[in-house]
Amino acid sequence: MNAPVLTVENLKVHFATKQKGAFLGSTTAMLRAVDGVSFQMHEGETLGVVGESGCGKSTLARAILQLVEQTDGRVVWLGENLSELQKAEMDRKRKEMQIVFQDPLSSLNPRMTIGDTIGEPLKVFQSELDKHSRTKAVRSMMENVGLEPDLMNRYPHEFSGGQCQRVGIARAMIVKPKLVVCDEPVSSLDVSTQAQIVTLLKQLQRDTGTAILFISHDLSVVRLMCARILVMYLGRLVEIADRDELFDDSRHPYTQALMRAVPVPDPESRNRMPTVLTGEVPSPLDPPKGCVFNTRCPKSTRWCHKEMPSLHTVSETHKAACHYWDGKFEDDSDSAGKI
Amino acid sequence: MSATLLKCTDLCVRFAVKDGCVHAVENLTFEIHRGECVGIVGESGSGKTQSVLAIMGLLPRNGTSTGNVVYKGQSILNASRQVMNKIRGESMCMIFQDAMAGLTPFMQIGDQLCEVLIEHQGLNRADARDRAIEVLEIVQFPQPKRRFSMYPHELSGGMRQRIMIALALLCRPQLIFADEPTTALDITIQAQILEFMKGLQKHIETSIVMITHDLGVAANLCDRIIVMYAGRMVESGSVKDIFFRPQHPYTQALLRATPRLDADPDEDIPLISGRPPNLQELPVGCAFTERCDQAQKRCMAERPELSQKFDDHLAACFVEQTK
Repeated sequence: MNAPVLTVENLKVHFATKQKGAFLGSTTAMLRAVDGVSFQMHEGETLGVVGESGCGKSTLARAILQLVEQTDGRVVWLGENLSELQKAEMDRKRKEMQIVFQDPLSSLNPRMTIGDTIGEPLKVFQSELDKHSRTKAVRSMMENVGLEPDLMNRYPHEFSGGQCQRVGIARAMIVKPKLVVCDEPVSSLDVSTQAQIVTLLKQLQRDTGTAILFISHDLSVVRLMCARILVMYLGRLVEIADRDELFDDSRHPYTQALMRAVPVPDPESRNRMPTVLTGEVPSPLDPPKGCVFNTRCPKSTRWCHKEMPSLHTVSETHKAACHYWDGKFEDDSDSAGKI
Repeated sequence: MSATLLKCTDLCVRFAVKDGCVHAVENLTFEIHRGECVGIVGESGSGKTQSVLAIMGLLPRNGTSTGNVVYKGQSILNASRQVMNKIRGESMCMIFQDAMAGLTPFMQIGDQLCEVLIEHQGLNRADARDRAIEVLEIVQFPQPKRRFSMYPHELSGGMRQRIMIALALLCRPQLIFADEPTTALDITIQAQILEFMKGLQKHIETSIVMITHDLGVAANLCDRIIVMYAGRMVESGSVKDIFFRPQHPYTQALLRATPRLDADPDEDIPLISGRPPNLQELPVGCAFTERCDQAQKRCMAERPELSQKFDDHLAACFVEQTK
């Protein structure tokens, strides 16, 4: 494969939060929203980022786009380290990297017609265009995302959630970006609308060759959309693999639990008791020692409580951060003894 | 089948709006038996929530409901506030989708739970507290004693939803309406709550009406399913009937559009094109005609009534399915 367009190296985003102290005053605690995530994306690739709320998916996306400040690590876009760029330079780069937000209605300006909203990025990035050619571009973009171009003078509140999401996608795609970050683009939509939007994104991706970073908590949607999938838990990357490899041969107990938690639309399978993960995600202010998943992991051992697992290479395209990635549990006492 | 708990006949819900009248629910007729779990499935705006709010007497002011709802032999539709408060407190309750909105933000969760018991069961404070903690333990709320005086914003979404369920269970209800209780939750927490609700239904013989747009959730929990489209019931039957021999093209399309982990991900998802009709100007014929892949001439001109396709399996469609 050719050189990656995006390289994320040991990316960390930590937030300092004020905590009420035991007596007077307050103490500062570190919230590790993203903690040492590394991966690469190639041209035209769709990479899914999966995890539960609070696992740092959205912060990761925002850090890549330099919308939040990173604490450590590098984000390299086409050979340039983005965090070293001046603001004006970075703003120019945004033409190549666009974002689609989760809430379709609140991410649109209610006082702007949707034609103006879709055309706004052109005003910013291609100011040489006159009004006429901008309108033309907006109309053709609207057609591409399945919106009637004659609706361009309407306002967002006149549209349904699915249509608003199409507007958001049109706004992102109109400047022909090389990377589109989609932050939970379908999770607030109905099943039938969800299918329409996923199909639209797939088709746009095929036609334009843009890379898509697709963030979602829904594995069944990610599976339809993405060629490669990254699983996050408490700010850490726990597993990354090609789609089929992840679904057929996942090596991290968290990924396995996520898959089993997806409700199967088949009444025959209801008595198949899913292994329900007990408890909730621990606070990222106070993550567990050792493996971050050890408080909920059905397979955790003493080793997991002592030492954070490193990212093991399962195959060239598959990595998992679990001590027992190779399924060898029997030598547990030995390995625990080693440390 | 066991005894009927709730019988709803020809329920219509309309909303007066600035430029007309929204027909949110039209001629909805169904029964809930004791101890069963019924799923109401459909897209947003199909009337799932409004029909339940009408039964509970919780419609907003511009809404009116007509028809007949008989609960344990008593006609309750549009009953007085006093009568409804008694029923809602004692034997019929609702779990809302958004647990944050369902709880009072400036009241400790313990007080919110105790208030219900003091009001409806006449318990004193100490007894109410014991009973509330007992129920919190039933819903597997972690460390109920320590968290008793916390405020809703201090809890996670999953914990808040458990409080909502605890509130619903306090007075040992016979009928629970659960409006998308797990939609706002993470998938592993959703699995926990669904497992819990399954167990609950077995143990205390409560009837549950589960409103959901997720067919996966419905398949896991429900005995019977009602499919709604544009304010009407288009199909109803046992969970197996609905999943294995759906008779209405909308149900079929909905099943096909639901992403499944065992389907081929490279195949195109069969789409339901278009959008549901405007509830202010419903078409003369079948409301699904425009999006239906099996529509005939007749569907435009005439609305199909519900008819019996198999035993206890109703569908409102002219097209005869082969299987």
